[in-house]
Amino acid sequence: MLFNSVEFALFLPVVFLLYWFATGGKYRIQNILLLFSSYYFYSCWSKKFLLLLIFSTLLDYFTGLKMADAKTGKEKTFWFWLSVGVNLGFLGIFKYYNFFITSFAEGASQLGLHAEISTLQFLLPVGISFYTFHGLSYVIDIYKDRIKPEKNFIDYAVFVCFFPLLVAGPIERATHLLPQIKSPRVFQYSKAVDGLRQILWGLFKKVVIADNCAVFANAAFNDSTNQSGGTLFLGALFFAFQIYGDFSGYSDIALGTARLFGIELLRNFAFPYFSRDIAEFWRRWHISLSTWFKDYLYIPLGGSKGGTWMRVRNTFIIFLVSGFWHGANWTFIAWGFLNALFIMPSILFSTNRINLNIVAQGRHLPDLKEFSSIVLTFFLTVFAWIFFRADSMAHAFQYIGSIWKDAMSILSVQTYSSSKYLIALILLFMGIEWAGRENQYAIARIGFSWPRILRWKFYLLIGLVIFFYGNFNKTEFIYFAF
Amino acid sequence: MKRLISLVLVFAVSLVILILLVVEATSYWVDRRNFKNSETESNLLVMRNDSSYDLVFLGISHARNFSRHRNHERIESILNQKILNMGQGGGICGPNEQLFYLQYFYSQGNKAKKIVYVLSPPFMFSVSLPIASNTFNYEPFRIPFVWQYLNFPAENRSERLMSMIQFKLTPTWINHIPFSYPIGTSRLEKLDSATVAKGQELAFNSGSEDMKRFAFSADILQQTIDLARSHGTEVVLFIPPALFGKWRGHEITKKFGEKVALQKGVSFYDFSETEFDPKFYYDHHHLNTYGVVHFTEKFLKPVLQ
Repeated sequence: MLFNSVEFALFLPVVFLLYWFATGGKYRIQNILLLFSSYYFYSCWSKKFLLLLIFSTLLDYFTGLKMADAKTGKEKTFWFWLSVGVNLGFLGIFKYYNFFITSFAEGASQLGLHAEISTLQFLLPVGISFYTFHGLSYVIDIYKDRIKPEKNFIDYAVFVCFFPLLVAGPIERATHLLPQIKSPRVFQYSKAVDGLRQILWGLFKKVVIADNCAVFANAAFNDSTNQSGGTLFLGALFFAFQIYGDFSGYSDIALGTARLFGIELLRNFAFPYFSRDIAEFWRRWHISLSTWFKDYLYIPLGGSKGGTWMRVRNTFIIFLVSGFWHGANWTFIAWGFLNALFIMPSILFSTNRINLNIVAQGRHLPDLKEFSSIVLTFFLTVFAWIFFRADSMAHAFQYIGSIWKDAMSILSVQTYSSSKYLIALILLFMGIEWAGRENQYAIARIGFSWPRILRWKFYLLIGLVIFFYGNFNKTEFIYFAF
Repeated sequence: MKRLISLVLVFAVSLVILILLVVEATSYWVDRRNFKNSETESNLLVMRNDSSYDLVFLGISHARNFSRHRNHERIESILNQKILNMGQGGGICGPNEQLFYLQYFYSQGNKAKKIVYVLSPPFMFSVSLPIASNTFNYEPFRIPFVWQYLNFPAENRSERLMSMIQFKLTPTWINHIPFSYPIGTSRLEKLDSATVAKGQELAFNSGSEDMKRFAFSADILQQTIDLARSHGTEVVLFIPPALFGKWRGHEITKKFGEKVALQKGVSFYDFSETEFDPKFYYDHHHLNTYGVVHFTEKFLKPVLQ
């Protein structure tokens, strides 16, 4: 069940009405409803993998309790590694086994050896990277004595598989979400309206921007040997907006949906394409993953405390691991490596925290320096996205080579004429994002000073654009594959 | 809570009203251009209510071709009959939506003496035609049409209707004007076997005859014949000519045509190997204007009169 499907449009109101009207406001009953709704939501993809999700939930729940009851440090460590090992084992088998085995065979053949390999022919369980990281953060926090284990299984299970965040995040922390699950929720009209507004904006990003950009980006990447440099350049730009619209749109819908149930999720995007350097970009892009890696990998590795060499090493490690988390392909590792390279000057010169404020705060437009920094950062990310989107390293190099080869070539008339409306929509979209960059999401406060009728017209216009220009061909969200 | 529900309802209703206003307005904008059958691929733009026709064409591009490039007026003149062509070319329509067009045609109080169903073999086997979501893109938005289609069993129904409605706010629809090509004159030089082989592969998707799909199409076709006969309309089926002669799946289609002719008392003709002169074709299986005129005079007229 996709967020932009008719099924979800029916599912959400039913769960919402039951949640607020049929539970008598008792949060324990609300949690049971949320759990079964979430399992139903997940089972729409795969009933078989629902069992895997339940197993993973049970494992972390019980190992969490066992760690707390452990009489010795050794026993505690045993339960900890059991949970980590099984979680990462599932992730490894389902997501990375084929990658490792084929990479091994290719490596062997480079050395003149022949390796008999057999790959596994099964699908990647939807959301496995996300719920595995939920579970991992929970057991790590218990192991480090940061939190107490959750004794109520229903509450813990809702934390792992609350349907808005189940398949594509944000990656929640027990310290943030569990207290909300364990306390009564009161319906607040203003919060619910805010949630609906964020859903509206998320839908716009997903079906209007991302899914339409996908058509052009796919055409460029899937037939890159027969396209002009100009068209490939445009294809890379479209992919940059596709992935941003797709993932941040999805996050907006998730956050807005959770807010309808009185639950606040972690913010995942903060206008990353207005970043003035790569360090700022990574504070604004997929925030819940970046902070996860910072807290559970970068800091345990020593963070930035151990001198320049350690900072450089740790930065490369988290970016390479982050790349690998996104997908089992060398292209994702290259994407992570490039981002580590791009961020390196600010790490070496300790300038990675100079842009902590909102760009051009209190002003309508950025100054020339800010503007040029934004443009440079944007094009660096676009360059890295080429590796992210390419099918293989060879494909990425071919794509980049073809852009440089005739970068000045004009776009074909067909490409231009069919994409000009989309370019106009992207410009409009980025204009609204810029206007709303000081808020949690772009249209959070836009129009609050306008007469109500005008604000309604604005929302209705967004609704009309979603309806008429949305691409409803049910393309899967990009991040579902991770 | 009540306030929120009211807000959502008001927003949803306002949005639906706005959408309806937009699609009605752009449909009217295009509809008022008074299209003729030879000037558009749309059926609703030319279909009137409570009208009587001597002949109605159904099928895919091989049927639609009898109207393109002012061919419509030519064959009306040759046959001396009033014709409506509801065949849909461009790879957008399968047998089921042709059945729906006919059902809608009758529901609007229209009558037809005869139906000519052009039985192209790929039409019977194709798995992509029945799921094309752009079937109704060039149709104006009409509530009875949409309502009837909502109650009609079809594959990809919601995607098809969504595509139709979304298309109403595109420049392509708003700027839709009558085609002005007076004649389809391009001619094929000679038969190219490699192109034919590649084309047949494409037409049959997987490259093999899908018998499950054929059985489904055959069933739809029989329903179409039953519907026509229940309205007192005679049905003529024919396999159209092709420069290369027989399509893949030709024998199966022919056997079905012969069987249904016997069972349902309709006429069936196999014209697949009647035209081997490239000058009558603009590609390997589509007749150009010369071909349409020649074929109508030589083959169609005798069987229809």
